[in-house]
Amino acid sequence: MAAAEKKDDKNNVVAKLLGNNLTWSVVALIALIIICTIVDHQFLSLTWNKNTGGLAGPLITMLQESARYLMIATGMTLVISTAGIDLSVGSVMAVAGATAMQLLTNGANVWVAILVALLIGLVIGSINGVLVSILGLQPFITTLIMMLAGRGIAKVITSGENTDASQVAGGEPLRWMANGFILGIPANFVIALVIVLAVGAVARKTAMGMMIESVGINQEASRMTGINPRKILFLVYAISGVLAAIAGLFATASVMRVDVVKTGQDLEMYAILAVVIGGTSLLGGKFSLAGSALGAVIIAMIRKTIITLGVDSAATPAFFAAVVIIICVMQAPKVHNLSAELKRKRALKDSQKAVAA
Amino acid sequence: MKKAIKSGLAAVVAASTLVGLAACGGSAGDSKSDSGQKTVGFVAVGPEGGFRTANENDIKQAFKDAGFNLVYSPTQNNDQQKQIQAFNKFVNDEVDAIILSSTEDKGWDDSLKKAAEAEIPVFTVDRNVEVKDAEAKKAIVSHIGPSNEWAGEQAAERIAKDFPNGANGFILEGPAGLSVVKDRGTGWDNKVASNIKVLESQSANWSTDEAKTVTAGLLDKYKSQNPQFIFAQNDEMGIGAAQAVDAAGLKGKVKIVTIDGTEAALKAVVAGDLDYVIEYNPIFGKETAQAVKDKLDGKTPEADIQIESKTFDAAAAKKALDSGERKY
Repeated sequence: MAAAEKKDDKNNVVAKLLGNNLTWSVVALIALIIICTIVDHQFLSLTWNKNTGGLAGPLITMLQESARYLMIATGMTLVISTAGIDLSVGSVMAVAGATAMQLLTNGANVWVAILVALLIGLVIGSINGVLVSILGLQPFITTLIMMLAGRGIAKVITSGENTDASQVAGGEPLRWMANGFILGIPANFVIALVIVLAVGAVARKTAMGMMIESVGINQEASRMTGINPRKILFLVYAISGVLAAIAGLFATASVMRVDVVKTGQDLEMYAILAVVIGGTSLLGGKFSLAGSALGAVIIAMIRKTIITLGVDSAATPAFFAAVVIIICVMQAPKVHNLSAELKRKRALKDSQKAVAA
Repeated sequence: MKKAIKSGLAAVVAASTLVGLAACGGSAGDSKSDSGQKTVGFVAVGPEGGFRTANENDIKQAFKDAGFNLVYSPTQNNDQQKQIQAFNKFVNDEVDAIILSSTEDKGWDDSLKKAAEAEIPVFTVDRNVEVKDAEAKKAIVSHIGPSNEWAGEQAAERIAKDFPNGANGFILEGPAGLSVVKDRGTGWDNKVASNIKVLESQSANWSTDEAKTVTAGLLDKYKSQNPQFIFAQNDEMGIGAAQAVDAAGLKGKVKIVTIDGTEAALKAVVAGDLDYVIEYNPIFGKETAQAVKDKLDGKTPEADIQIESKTFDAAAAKKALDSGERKY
C-alpha cells in the first residue's frame, strides 16, 4: 500500500515536471547541445585561454552572446506581463551603442560614455512609459514608432557612419564588460545574470511582481485594489529601456564598433521569442523571469547550432524558425496530454468491447 | 487580443505607407525648374556605412558640379520596395535621367519598362541589375561601377600567394540573395587555387558583431583542421573576424582578406589585424555625371564603365593613410 502511494507521488512529480514549461526549455537546450556535440565532438570541450584570461570553447562564446538576449528578454518579460509589448529594444540597443562609441571617439571618459548610454536608454524607455501609461496609447504603436525613430536617432548620433572606437585608448572597461572574464566565466554573462537575479528579487521578494501581473490581468481592477497602474506601466517600460541600453553596450563593446543598421536588428523579435519560450503569456498577467532567461540562452544556443551544423546561410532564418516552433510544440499542454488522451480512448474502447462481449 | 493585433497590424501598414510617402515626397515640385537645368533622379540606398556615404556624397557633389539638379531619394534598410516606388515616381515626374543604385539585382523589369516607354535613360551604378525583358533592357544606357567579381578574384589570388602550399579557411558572406555577395563569391571561385580549401562559408550579414561570433564558432569547430585564412566579403566582417582571431590567440596565424577599403580596414591592415584589403572604389561620381551628360547631349556612352580599384597590403595601406587623400 505504502509502495503504491509512493509510486503515485512519483508519478505526480513526473507529471508536474512534464507539465512545466521550464522543464521543456531545459530539455530543448540539452537536445541542442547534444546535437551539436554529435556533429562536433569538441563542442563541450573547455580550454583555458591565456590570451583572454578565461575559459574558451563553443559553450563560452554562446554564453557571451546570450548576455544581450538575457537583458532584453528580462525587460520584455516585465512589459509583456502587463499585456504590453516593447518593440523598440533593438533600436534602443543601437542608440545606446552609438552614443557610447561616439562619445568615446570624441574623447569622453569611458564611464561617462557608459552612463550617458544608460541614461539615453532610460529616457527612451521613459518616453515609451509616459506615452503608454499617462496618454494611454497602445504599446504596440508607441514602441513601433520608437523602433523606427530609434534607428534614425542612432544614425544622427554617428552621422550615418559605423563609428569605430577600437583604437581609442581608455575604452578598456567597456571592452572588458563584453569580452572579459570573471573567474574564467564571461564577464557579460555574469553581469547579465546578476541583473536578472536582482530584477527577479525585486519582482518576487516584494509585491512588485504581483502588482505587475495584476495590471496585466485587469488594469481597472488593480486600480481599485489600490495599485497605481500608471506607475507600474511607466516603470516596466523605463526598466526595459535601461536593460536594452545595457544589451546595446554588450553588443557594441564586443567589437568596440557600432553598426547603425545592424546593431540590435531583429533583436526585439528574439526577445519576444525568448519570453514566449520561457512560458510568459503574451496576454499578460503571468510571468517567469527564469523561463525568459532560459529562453534567452536557448536563442543564443540556436544561433550557435546554426554555425556548428553549418546550415546554409540562405536557410538559417527557416532553420531558426523551425527550431522555435518545435520547442513551442513541445511545451504545448495539448501535446503533453496527448498520451493520456490516447490511453483514455483506448481504455474506453476496451471497456466498450468488454461490454459488447 | 485578436482585435488588438488587427488594429496593430493596420497601424503598421498605415505607418509604413506614411514613411514611404514621406520618403518619396520632398523635392517633387521643383523638378523641371529653371532655365533648362536638367533634372536627374537618384534612386539611392541611403546611410549604410562608410562606403555608401562616400559613394552617394560623391555622386551628389559631382552632379552639382556638372550643373544638374539631382533629386536624391534613399531607401531604408535595403528595402527594394521603396526604391521601386521612388523609381516609378521619377518616371511619372518625367525627369531627364535616372541613376539607379539598387539594393537587389532582380525585380526591376516593370519599372524599367515604364522608363523605356517614357524614354528616360537609366544609369545603373555600383550594383548591376539583372533584366530579362528586352523592352526593359533598352532603358539602361550604362552601368558604372567597380567590379565585384574582380574584387573576389583579387582575394583568391592573394590567398594563393600567401599560401603557395595550400591552406584551409573560411568565407564570411553577406546576406544571401544580394548580387554583391554572389559576384564576390563568383570572383573567388573563378580564381581560387586548387590547394586552397574552404572549410565553410557562413553569412555574417555584413556585421562586425555577427562576424566575430560566427568566426569564433568556426575557429572552434575546425580547430583540428588548422584554418589559416578568412575571406570576409566586406571590411566590417573582416574587422569582427580579426577580433575573434585575436581572442583565440591566432593573430598573425590566420590571414584575413577583405573587400571595400574603408579607413578602419586600412588601419587594421597597418596594425596587422588584416592581411590584405581590396578596395571597392566608391568614388565615381564624375564618371557617372559624364556618362549622363554624354547621353543627354546625344552621344552614346559605353555600356559598361568599369571603375578602377586598388589593393592594399600593409605598406600600401600606410602610404594611403599617410597621404590623407582618401575620402572614406
